[in-house]
Amino acid sequence: MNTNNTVLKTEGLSKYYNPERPEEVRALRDVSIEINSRKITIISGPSGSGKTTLISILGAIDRPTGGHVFLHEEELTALSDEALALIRRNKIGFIFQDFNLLPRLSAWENVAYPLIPIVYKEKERKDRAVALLEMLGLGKRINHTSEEMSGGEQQRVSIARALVNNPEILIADEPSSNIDAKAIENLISILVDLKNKGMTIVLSTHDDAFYPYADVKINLKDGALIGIEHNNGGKI
Amino acid sequence: MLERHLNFLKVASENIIRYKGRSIVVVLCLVAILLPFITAIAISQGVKSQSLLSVEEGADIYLTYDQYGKNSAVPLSFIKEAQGIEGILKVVPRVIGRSFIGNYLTVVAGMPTDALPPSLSLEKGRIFKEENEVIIGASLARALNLDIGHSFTLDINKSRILKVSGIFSSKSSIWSADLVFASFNDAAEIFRMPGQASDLLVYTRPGYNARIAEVLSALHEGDKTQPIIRVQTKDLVRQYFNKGFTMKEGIFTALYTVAIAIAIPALLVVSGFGMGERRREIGIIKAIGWQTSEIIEVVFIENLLLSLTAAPMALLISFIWIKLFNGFLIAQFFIAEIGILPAFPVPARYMPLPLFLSFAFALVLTMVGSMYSTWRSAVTSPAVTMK
Repeated sequence: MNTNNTVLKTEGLSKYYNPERPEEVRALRDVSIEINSRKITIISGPSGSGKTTLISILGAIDRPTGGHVFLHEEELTALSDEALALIRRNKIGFIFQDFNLLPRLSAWENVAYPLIPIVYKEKERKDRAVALLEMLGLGKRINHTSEEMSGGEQQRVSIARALVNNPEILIADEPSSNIDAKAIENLISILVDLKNKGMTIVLSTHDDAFYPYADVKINLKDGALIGIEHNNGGKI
Repeated sequence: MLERHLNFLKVASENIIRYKGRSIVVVLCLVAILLPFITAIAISQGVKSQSLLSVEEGADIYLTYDQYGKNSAVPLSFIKEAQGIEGILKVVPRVIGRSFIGNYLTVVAGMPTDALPPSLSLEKGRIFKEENEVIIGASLARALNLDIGHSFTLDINKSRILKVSGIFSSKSSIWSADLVFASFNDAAEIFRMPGQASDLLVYTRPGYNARIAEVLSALHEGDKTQPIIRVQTKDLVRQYFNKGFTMKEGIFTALYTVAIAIAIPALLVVSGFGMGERRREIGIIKAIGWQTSEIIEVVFIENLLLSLTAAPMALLISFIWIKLFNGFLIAQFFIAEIGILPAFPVPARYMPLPLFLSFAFALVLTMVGSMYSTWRSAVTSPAVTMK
């Protein structure tokens, strides 16, 4: 079913590592899902179920071995690497599991980095980065490097970087795996706030703290889709 | 559009500072590779320039006899024969030979005072006047601790005690360094060549050179009792020098290019310094929306900046080494038999082409060392490179 609200869609998606070799790993097998706009969609499953692989493909960071991925009507699997980079630049913000901040840069420089090829004035880049960091409660940490910040702070820098280009979709991979309970609470309120502002959010997690806030929960096991749950006013 | 590239320029400069360790290693490697090249070519150019200066100051035609294919002495009686030829202004006899003073090899030249090179300038004393008086090069004086009024003998003829009447320096330091000038007669007696000259210096009217050379060459033609005359014009000598030096520099540059090509694998390893971190960062940058071409541009600019730093640095070190330390240690590799600390000012000229070449070398090396690995990292899926 492809509704008008569908932002991302996969058809028969598969991802095999070391295909046709004895050490072949089938990380995803024939996964077909739809992600609707302005919703929080959780991809859930135990370790090794293929959550990170699926979310990386949805975020245009990785390519599938088979199947198709569509962003609206555009087939991502048919795009060149350079076109995929533009998709990541303009339409998708990605929060990595281990944040992936550039270690030698300050918080604001990390946030502003995606803007370098498109916003030519450094002051403008810095203003945008600082505004986001302030919005996320990091106004006093803008000149600190990642080494000087806690896990929760690093994650907020990572969120700010993902948001700096005003993406349509925010994707987060295991966002609670490297932060404490208080930071998780803080993160949930940021995500809900962003959803309320109209952003589509996709996150992979097996942390049930997120489930009450999800509109849709996609369950994976051993790389296969085993169920989709919809939140119809209650909890998933 | 320009602002975009200026942005990348800024990022590249900041990267060079951020990756201090890597940048310093690359620049030092480049300097180590470029320094001998720049120095060798500068010394070669310096020697060439001084050689040509000597040629310009010299006679229009050099005349010797040819014996068994080698230069041999000319009888002074030949001067009269030559002087009658139209266009010849003067013919000056010269004796030139080599002799040790103890362990020190010197060149002894005997000629009339009015034929001495114009660039020669007396630092001390006066030109030789009396019998057995000589003038000596400043570096020879320093090396042998000789001063005005001091006496010495040449190993080739110890019976003649020579007296220093003057100490000179010359623009052509390399040729005048170990030189002893004496009167023609004294030199002829030192080398036991009475009535003969090593060669004749022929000065001609402008435009007559080639024709006179032909006439002189033909003087003994048909007379089998007379030796063959060997004539070398200034143009020919100039050509020999130019050809010789150009060939030497060309061979050196070619050998250096081969050496650099061989050194590239080593540099690849060196430039891999910090590459693991770099690869991961390229993955992150790619994942947040940078395109491969943008990453390549930044790395290209980084290499350009590193090369632009390394080439002038190598030039500066070479310059200081030659000018301030007179090529201590290094000059002996490029000028034979001058020792660790040269006794005369080592000639060196820094010309634009070799400098440009050294910059190009640096750029090629850094490009080869980094562009492929950067491109490989940039076209690999960020999911893989970020791991």
